[in-house]
Amino acid sequence: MMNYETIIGLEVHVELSTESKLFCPCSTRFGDKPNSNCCPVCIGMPGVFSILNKKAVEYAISVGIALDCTIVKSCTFDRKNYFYPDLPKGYQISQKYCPIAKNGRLIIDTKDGSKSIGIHEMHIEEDAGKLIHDSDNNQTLVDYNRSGVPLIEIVSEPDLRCADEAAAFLDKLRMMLIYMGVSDCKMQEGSMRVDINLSVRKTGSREFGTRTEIKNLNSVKAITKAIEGESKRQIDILKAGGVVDKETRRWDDNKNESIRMRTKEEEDDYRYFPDPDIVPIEISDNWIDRLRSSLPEFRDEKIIRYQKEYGISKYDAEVITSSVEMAKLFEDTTKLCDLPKEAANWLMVEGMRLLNENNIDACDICITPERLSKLILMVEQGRVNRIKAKEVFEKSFLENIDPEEYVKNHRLEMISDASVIRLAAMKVLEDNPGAVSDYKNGKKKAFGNLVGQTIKAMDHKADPAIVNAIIKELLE
Amino acid sequence: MKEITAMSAMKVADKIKKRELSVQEVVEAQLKAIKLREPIYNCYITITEDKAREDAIKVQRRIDNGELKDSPLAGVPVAIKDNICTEGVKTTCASKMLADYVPSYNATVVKRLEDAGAVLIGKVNLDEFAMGGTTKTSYFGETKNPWNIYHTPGGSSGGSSAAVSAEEAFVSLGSDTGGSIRQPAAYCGLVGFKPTYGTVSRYGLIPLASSLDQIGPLSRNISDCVSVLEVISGHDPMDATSVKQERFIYRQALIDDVKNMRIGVPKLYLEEDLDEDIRCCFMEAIKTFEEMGAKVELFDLDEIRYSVQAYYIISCAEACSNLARYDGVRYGYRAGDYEGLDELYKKSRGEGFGYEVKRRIMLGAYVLSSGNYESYYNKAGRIRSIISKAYEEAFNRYDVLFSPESLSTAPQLNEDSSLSKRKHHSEILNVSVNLAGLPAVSIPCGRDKNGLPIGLQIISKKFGERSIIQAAYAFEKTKPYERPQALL
Amino acid sequence: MKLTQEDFNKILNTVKISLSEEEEIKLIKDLNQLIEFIDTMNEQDSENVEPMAYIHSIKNVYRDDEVTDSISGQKLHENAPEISDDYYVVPRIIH
Ligand SMILES: [Mg+2]
Ligand SMILES: [Zn+2]
Repeated sequence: MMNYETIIGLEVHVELSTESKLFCPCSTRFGDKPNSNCCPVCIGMPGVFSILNKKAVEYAISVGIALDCTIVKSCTFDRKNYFYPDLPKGYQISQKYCPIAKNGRLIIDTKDGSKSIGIHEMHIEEDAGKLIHDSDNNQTLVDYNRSGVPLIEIVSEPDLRCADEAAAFLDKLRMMLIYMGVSDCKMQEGSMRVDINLSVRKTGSREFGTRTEIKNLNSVKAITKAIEGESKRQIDILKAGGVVDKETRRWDDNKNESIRMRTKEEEDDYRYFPDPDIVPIEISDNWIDRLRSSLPEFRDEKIIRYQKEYGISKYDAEVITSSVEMAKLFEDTTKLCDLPKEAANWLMVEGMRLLNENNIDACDICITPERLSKLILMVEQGRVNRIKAKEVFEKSFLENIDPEEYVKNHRLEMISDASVIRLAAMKVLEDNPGAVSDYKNGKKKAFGNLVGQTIKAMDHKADPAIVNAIIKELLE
Repeated sequence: MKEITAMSAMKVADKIKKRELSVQEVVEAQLKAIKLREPIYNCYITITEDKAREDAIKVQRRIDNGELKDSPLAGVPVAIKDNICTEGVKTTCASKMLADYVPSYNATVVKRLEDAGAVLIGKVNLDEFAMGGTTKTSYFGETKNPWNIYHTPGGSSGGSSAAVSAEEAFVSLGSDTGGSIRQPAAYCGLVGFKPTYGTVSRYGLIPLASSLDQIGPLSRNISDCVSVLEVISGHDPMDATSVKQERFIYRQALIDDVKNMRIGVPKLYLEEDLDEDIRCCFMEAIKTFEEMGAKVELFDLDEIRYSVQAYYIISCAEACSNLARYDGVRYGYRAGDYEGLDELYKKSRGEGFGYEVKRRIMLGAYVLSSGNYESYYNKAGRIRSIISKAYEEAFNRYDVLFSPESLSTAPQLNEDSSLSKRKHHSEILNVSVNLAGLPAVSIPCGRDKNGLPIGLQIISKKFGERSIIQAAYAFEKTKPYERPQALL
Repeated sequence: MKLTQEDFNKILNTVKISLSEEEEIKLIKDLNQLIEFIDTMNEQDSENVEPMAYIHSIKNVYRDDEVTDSISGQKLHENAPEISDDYYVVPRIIH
């Protein structure tokens, strides 16, 4: 039985989260009225020119640095010429002859340990508009709001071998970019899109097979399915003695199969040449150093530091750093209350539960570090019972609510008034003669039961230490 | 009326300043002249009559408020080539493709002229998308040469040259990608200036070839030219290729002195099949300069021999890409009847563009197509480097270079010269100037046996406008402007 | 003939232009003549010469990442051949 190996390279398009577009001052906001964030430049009117957004260039250089790439000394933009209604100028401004960054790597975690995936190159380009196919009226509608939004295209080496590795690569990349704040990487909004280059070969063979390209996938699930599906399709062809054609395909999620878009012969001739309207970018070592020094601490670094500095477990550190917002909340809270384990605990257990139950993202967390540390300290100082504190946490995690005020308004403070507690305790003893006699007969376990019931009777607000003392006193 | 429109721009501006004439009077006189002569010459695609009248009142008010004291162009009617965008005014590029296109923005040069108090009087004819040297490819019909209506006014800025020559505008703006200001200026006996690339913003100029295009003035004398040049030059953040100098001052160069000026004449040009009348006029002009104390020298500039080949490749490649946006989707001509997207594209472009445009787009696509990029596009870029360097070296020795502007005077309109070898020769000195981004002017230097004007081209190094102006001014003193005798 | 009918058709398809029969015949002839002419530049030795793409050595021209008001969509749409509910309209593209 012959075994086959799958060779995968990814091309990842990432929309940069600049305020304005790559070459014009239109907003990049998502979801606005069609063709409302447009101007003569991004709608391709004649006689207007592209003026480059500096922030986009800096974001790109920073990503290049973070991906361990060589940043070029100077580069230009090239025009990729082809016709499509989402492309208003008849060409896309991209970088063909000299991408801004080359030869990098990204370390991913696989089930066999960590693996280095080469980054072939990274370049800057502009996004196209959006097409809506309206079959009722037999027409296609075009919205240019996305036209001209800055993208970086990251091209990996063919170092990936399975869908899991591809998913790990994307996950790692996504985290990195989010940590840097250069993109929100929301796949469902199209701010991260992936092309898959895939070929198969006999295991042990050194030559690459013929590859196909599957265009424009925008969910990890679709990517996983497409890799598995395409890999199987190619292996089946080879097993049947056929040959794989070099072609571009697209993934049909409904049919669960890839479909041919065009063959190599039908491939457009893009007639690239340097854009004469955009002057070259020159990147000094100084500029690179400045951007390098402003890179954030990345997730891997945080995970190690959290274990060392805060003494929390690797697992906890991984969960907390799974979003940059959560990590920041954790760090800032710890700075204020100096109780890292408490902070981690709240976020890990209650925080994660609330995110899951409410199906929200970490960026939607309402609680501030000030409020969380206040709550932790209130528990620590015995001002609120831990069970009541959960209610307070939930409120301020999801809504704009101050824990201190909430506790006050809802009278959740711990009760330490002995006379109040004694009354409650006496009632519990009265209602539970069995337990009392158990205790007197030497069954010490009954004591805890009575304490618990008293606390519960006081709506979890009683100070457990005082309850303990009073029950003991009453029983003896 | 004739008294007003025949004045130079500076003269009429001076009279407006001195209150001897109102802006309205000047504009009315101009409109009247246009109405009288347009049926003969066909300079204009759009006459902005109403806007000009409104603007005349506004400009007069600004003058009365003392706002335009320093502006040399306050109240002067100007014509703009119809490939330069004017907000709210049709900008057609003389193409069916853009026959109804109304820009929502002004070109920077238009804004600068209006800020300076110039009055836009209309949009003038050109070859379709500035591709040509005759205006014959215009969708709106050809323009006639005011010196002889059976001859072309030149092109592509033929409307710009004919309008100024026919006194249908005091000055005009043209655009020059490979001689398109200088050649029509020569054919109509005018001053036509192509500034250093990057000194005049291209924002709003509908591009033919981005790395070659430059806007410049056409006028009846060098002083008028300098006034326009000063107004339109200067850095513009909307054009990344624009040079970072806020203002360019040229008027100090209007001095009648060329003593010890070093003038180089590339031999190459005189060896070619130059019209005898042109050779005579050219040699006479050189003699005049020598008499004025300049030092003239013939020299070899063989490195520019392949200018036209490189020019064709670069300009067509850029044009092919620049003209891809006309696809019938967002603006411009859309075919009436099509089946599917591909046919929408093909028919809209096939019907919207004329033959010359199609020819250049196809050549551009050919030189960029896969496998040809290195052997054509990059090779042309290398030749461009060689040409640029050769000029640089020449300007170590000379302040300015002289050449005839063209091998012949304005051809007859019915003559077909599109692909002749002679035409290619004739283009060498024109297009090499654009390839190197240099400033150059054509000034009138005489007439041929048929009475048609002859142009003298003066070229200088990058930012060497002042040397050109100085030479042109001194020569103009010996040969003042002549108006076409045929003019009504 | 350097440019065959097949090459010609291929290029014509990339630039999306329809031609009449006469135009096509004339254009192939013209292009071949032009190509023959531009090929004469190969007489020029240009080894070790870098291609020149920009006139000046201007570099790093940027704008700040600031949003300024877009020209209203309405104004841009005024030139459009077909608009429906703020969208530009083309014939339906079928995959
Ligand atoms: Mg790309
Ligand atoms: Zn825009």
